[in-house]
Amino acid sequence: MSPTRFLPALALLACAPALVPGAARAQSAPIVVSGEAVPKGKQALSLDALRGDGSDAARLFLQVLRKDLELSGWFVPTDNPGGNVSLAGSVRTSVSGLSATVTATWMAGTRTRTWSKEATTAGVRDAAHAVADAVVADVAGKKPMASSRILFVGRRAGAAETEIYACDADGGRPSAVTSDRKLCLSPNWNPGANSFLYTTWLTGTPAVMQVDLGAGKRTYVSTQPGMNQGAVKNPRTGAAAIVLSRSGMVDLYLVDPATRRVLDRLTRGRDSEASPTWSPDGASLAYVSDAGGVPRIYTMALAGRQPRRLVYDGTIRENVAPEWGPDGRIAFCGRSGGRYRVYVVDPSKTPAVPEAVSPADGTDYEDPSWAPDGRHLVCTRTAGRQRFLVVLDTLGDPPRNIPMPIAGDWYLPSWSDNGVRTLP
Amino acid sequence: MKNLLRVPLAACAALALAAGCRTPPKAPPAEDDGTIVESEFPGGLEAPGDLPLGNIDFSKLAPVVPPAAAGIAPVYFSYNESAIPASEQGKVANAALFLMQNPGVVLLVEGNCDERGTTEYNMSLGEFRAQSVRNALVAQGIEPARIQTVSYGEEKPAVPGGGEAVWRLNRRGDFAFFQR
Repeated sequence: MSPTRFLPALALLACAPALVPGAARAQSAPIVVSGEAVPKGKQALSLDALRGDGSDAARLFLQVLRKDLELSGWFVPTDNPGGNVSLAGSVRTSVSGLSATVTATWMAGTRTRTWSKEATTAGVRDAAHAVADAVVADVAGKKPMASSRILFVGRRAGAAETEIYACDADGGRPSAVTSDRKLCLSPNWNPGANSFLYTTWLTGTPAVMQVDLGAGKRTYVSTQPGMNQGAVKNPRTGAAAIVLSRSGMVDLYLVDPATRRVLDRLTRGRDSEASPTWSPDGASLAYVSDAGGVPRIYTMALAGRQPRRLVYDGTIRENVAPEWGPDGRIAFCGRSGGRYRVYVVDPSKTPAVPEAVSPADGTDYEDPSWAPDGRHLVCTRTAGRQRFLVVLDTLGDPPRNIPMPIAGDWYLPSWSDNGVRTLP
Repeated sequence: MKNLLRVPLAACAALALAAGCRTPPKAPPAEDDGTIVESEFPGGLEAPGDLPLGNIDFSKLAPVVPPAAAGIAPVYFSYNESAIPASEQGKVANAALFLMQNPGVVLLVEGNCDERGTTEYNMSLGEFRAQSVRNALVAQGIEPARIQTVSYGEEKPAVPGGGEAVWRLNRRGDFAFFQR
């Protein structure tokens, strides 16, 4: 059930006690049942008893928390009482900046859970994201995503070059990470989300660079002649899969980021490979190859090295830009009817049947990247000549734009895995 | 007002770096004020250091502009092709002659594509185009070590916009000469 369909039910719920004395209890029965039987269900989450002290920090906290809970896809926040779950507590300024205490009470009142969070003034957004993640994990029992971040490429209107940018999962706090005024592309978070790899043309030719966000440092990872593209670290070994053209052909290689040494060549031949992505256990990768004359996605176990074509759907002419998600499904971009759409497929199924998750609306959806909740994807949407970021929901909520405060092209997103943060 | 404040902050960070501070301070996170933080690292990320041995750092070389009489011009390609059309072979010969007459000059061949196709695919196609030009130059006697290739994919169009009249000008290999 979509949030918009749900809102009239909430309004009715709010009026019901006045209309029918004594009916409050009956009307507060679950509006949307959450559970295995209804995977697309949402819970009404009452926020009427969660109050701030009127300060800017408290207002920001409550605003971010509410938006995070809504964007999780599992809740419909409401200011009316009587939801499936109620959040109560106080958010007020403190010596350190902000102090928040939030208690969740389940409808029947049989279970409660309380979280406390202190934050500096600069950390208000992070604190709200952390509480939202705790609510999603404990109340909905789902993987959260509010504390994760999104990297992407930005080209400001009129600029020839690009920079790497980052924003929160809700699109807040957009910021430039690089400021080189050179071409740069293909940012990919490393496991843990404290660093990332990207390709830069800083010295005139492409090189893969690693940025350590904590220290503000960066180091060369691959400086092979020709292409150095699409680098992504193995979540288990740390080795980077990179597209290189050092042999004169475009192939996949394994590179040790610490020594820049090429460890192995994963593909050979005259075909071109692109866009490697690792399985969650690091034992396999998916990538694009034009071995069949058309770009298609293949999977390959590191042990064995036997490529296996992923999709056999004849209506999807090309399939490119795969990303292996945290729950084992692969998102990719396919061309159908002259337009690119985002599809999701389970590689463990035979046959693997792709399901479209972006609308067929006459625009192009490309470069999907999974949120750590395994439910949402961020991708590039091209409408006319404009590229911008859109979040897709694999369970059917409508696409959500991530608006940027300045004009430009925003594309090639990478969503971090840093979705779970524990509260003190 | 916040944007105005960020400028002196960035300037201070740059001064701190110049004074020997190795790690630039992180900018405070923005609130939801509808702005974009110009850099999470005022003063920029720490420089990555010199390129490893064996790589040419073209950003440190002086560009060489060939005289008009040398006839240096972009090599244009057909759609989705990396083979040099017969009509473009003369341009490669001109570049080879210029390199022979200027032994201290090195060349970066830049492969480019029109906007059709995905970013990653066009990056590969641009690389193949650059390598086609490089191979043709080597076949004409130019030392391989003097030529490197780079692909910009669809990221550096010579002409913005769409339509075949524009696309044909963007499917190209550019010659960038530098003094070694």
